[in-house]
Amino acid sequence: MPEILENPRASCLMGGALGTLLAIPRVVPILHTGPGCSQMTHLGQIHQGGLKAESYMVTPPCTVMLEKEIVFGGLDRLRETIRGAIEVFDGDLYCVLTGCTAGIIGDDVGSVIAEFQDVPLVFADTAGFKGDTYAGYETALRVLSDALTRPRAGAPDRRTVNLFGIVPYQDLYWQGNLNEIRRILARLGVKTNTFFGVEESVGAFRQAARAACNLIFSPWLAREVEQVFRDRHGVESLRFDCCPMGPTETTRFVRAVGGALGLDPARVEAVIAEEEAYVYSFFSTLAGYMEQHRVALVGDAGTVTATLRFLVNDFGQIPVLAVVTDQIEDADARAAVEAALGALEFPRPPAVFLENDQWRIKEILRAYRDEITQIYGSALERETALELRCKYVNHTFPCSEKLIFDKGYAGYRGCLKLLEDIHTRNHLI
Amino acid sequence: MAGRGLNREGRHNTYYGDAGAFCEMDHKFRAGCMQNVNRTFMQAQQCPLVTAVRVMQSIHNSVIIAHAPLGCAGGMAMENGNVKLYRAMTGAPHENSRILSTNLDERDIIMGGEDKLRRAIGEAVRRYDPEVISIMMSCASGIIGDDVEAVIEEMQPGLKAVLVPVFCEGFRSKIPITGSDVAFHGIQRYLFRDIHPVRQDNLVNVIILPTCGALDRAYLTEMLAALGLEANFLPFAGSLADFRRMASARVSTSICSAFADDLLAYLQRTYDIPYTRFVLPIGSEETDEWLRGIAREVGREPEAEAYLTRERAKYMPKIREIRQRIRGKRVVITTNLMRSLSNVALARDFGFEVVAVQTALYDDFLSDELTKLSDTFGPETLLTLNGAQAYEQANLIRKLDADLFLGMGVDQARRQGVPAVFQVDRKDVTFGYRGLASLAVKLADALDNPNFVKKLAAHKKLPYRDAWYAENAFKYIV
Repeated sequence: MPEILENPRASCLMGGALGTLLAIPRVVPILHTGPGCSQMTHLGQIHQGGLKAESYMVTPPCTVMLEKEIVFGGLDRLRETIRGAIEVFDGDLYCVLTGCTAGIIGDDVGSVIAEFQDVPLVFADTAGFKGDTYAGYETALRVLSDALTRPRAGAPDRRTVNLFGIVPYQDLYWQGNLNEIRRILARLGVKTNTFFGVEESVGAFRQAARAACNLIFSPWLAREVEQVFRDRHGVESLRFDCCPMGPTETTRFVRAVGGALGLDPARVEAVIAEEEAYVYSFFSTLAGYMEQHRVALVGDAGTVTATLRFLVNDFGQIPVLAVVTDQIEDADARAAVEAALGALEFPRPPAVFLENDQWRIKEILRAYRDEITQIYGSALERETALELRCKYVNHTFPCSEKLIFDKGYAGYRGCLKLLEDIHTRNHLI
Repeated sequence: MAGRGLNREGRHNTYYGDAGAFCEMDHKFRAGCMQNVNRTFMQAQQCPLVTAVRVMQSIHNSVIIAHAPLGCAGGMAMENGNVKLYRAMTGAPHENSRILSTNLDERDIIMGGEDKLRRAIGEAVRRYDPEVISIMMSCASGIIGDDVEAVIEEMQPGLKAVLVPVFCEGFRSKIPITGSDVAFHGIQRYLFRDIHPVRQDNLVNVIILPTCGALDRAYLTEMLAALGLEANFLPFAGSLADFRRMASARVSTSICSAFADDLLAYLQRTYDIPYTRFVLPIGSEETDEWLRGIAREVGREPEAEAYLTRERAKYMPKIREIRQRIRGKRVVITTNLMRSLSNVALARDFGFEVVAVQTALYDDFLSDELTKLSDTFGPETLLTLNGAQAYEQANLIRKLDADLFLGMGVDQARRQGVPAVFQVDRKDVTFGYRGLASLAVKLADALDNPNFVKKLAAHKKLPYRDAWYAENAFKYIV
């Protein structure tokens, strides 16, 4: 059960849903919330997710619920706000998101939505108190796929895949990571629906049932969407522990996709050979001054798992500690995350903690002070790294210290960016 | 309920929402027929919680509790960055703000969140032994009716930390500054208990906003030191001792006319400390007036004149040179801060033609100030009290054919191809003559090289329909 938290590392359900929607160009969120929910979640989710403001929206339309709406209900206000939003804003999809206020007073938003027949308008119940950023991502995925994804007419497209499990703005490098996975799959002749990012549109959701399969980069996220695609559209999912990072994990991923889609093994192996050669030509220049650190990682399950595998399996670092900061309630999901963190080409698995309270995270890191020499964490870990005199890499959410456009750490080439970063003096202390 | 304070909406002669030519607006106001105005369509705004956080969070050796679901701590995450920047610029060790969220969930909404609040207070004490714990209310904790005052009454005895409730529920006001009002109300009621002040003749309270950076603070310190005064800066990064020391001061002043006015009046009422607040040290005449006002209170006029003469000699040549290059430009001045008024005053220094002014609200003070300034900007200048309605701003910017945009909301103006400057700069001096010279350079630079904004506007559209720009910008006002 959610307990009190110091320095939260996620926003509320509405914040997660808003971040997810804003990652799709030309989607107009309409907030049925108090006056400040947009700003609060921008500051807490999008701003902390690498400083980049969303590219399309300025400020979303909002019902600005005040005392009057709390007491008498906000549906009239919602109706006129939707009307104004459609008149003023030019969007491919309008999506009403509810906040705590509408959720508590129980506004029947669906009844108002039903009045707008000829408009691409949907509604997501996103009262903030019902969950965190991840729940918001799941809710947005459900609403978008329910509303937009049409049943497939003919045979599936054997050379198209859907990609899920990377949460925009919670994964700081979501745009760059999506780009790299798309690039690699394109080399294999496979088209990727990434759904989110500057080159995408809501059209990707409309086409999604035609894909050969879903690739899901998480042991615990997107379970609902997985089921919907299997039951309703006959699209199976391939699950991976994380978005692959570094040559070992990426090659494993490429072979798995090649097998699942029945790609020509010779072509797959040729791409792998070329990509690995490229990466290793840079690795070799590091041989003179690479350092072996004893590392602690603090962050979301996906980034921590992917980074740990690269650092240990490819870069020869010593895994000591992994702190996963996601609020994961389900026992099976927790076990899956822990198992993924232990699956390393190294005899001693790291100590694994699932903890998201700043004070307790700091206590955990302090307990390992004699064993760790480098911390990969959020902006909140800089303080701890200074105290423990560890090297520090600003690597996970929340991060308001650097601007992140399309830098990614995923795949073959992304890991080179991480090596550049950790060998830049700015990131050392 | 005594700790809740008043909404701006409830103040005498305070209005929001309307728009029109300044002469009409002022006529309406003086004739007593101005009204609060609503819109049938709005974009999201600030809420009182954000402005309240900006008053409370940076208090030294304090913990801030968001009695709220997770998302409401977002503004605190942002403010954490501002506090860390300030610490870095003053050489203080890197340290996170101590933020606790009660992380209210569905069960708490039904069963109440008071137990979690008790636990949060307990954890704040156990973890950090702070001097102040600020308890920030939210929409959720407000609607379910958690009795935070009862929790405080129950827990305060025996605690070193002073518990301060801040009733900044998001839905309580459409005027965001209500949040800072209620935060100062909490400070006044809870931090000033049992004070027996001993007057310190050289001490001046300076109310500053978090937007006032370390260099601004150092410069204000220098200005006041020229009068032999020691500055006690609050609330940003102040300690409990600094707050309590306020009661010993000779005089108070504020660098935002709308900010903390109740607190300043309280200090005058209770401790006989006079204050100046209506003039801010932004713009040359205003800087002179600001320092002279304080000097008059403490009998140091000659020192003030000597200092101002030195500063003018140092900075005016540069300011005059730039004025020659930028005078006559058509400028839109829009900000939610009360600095917007000072921006209008800046127009006098730079010889701008002001084509529109946006403020968050309108009251006696604003009316007087704008009347004084109307020679500069003319009676037909558009005045909007809309508080960040970006779609209206976009519409107006296109119609007004402005050369320059000054104030809050630069992102959208730049995306429309208009060079824009936001004068809040935490890494620079923005007050006094030095700040004026620095701003002059920024304005000239923005006009001299508009390449980024021009090409950006050519490549990217704002999200509004083309048809919107042909509409009356105030179409949704009812």
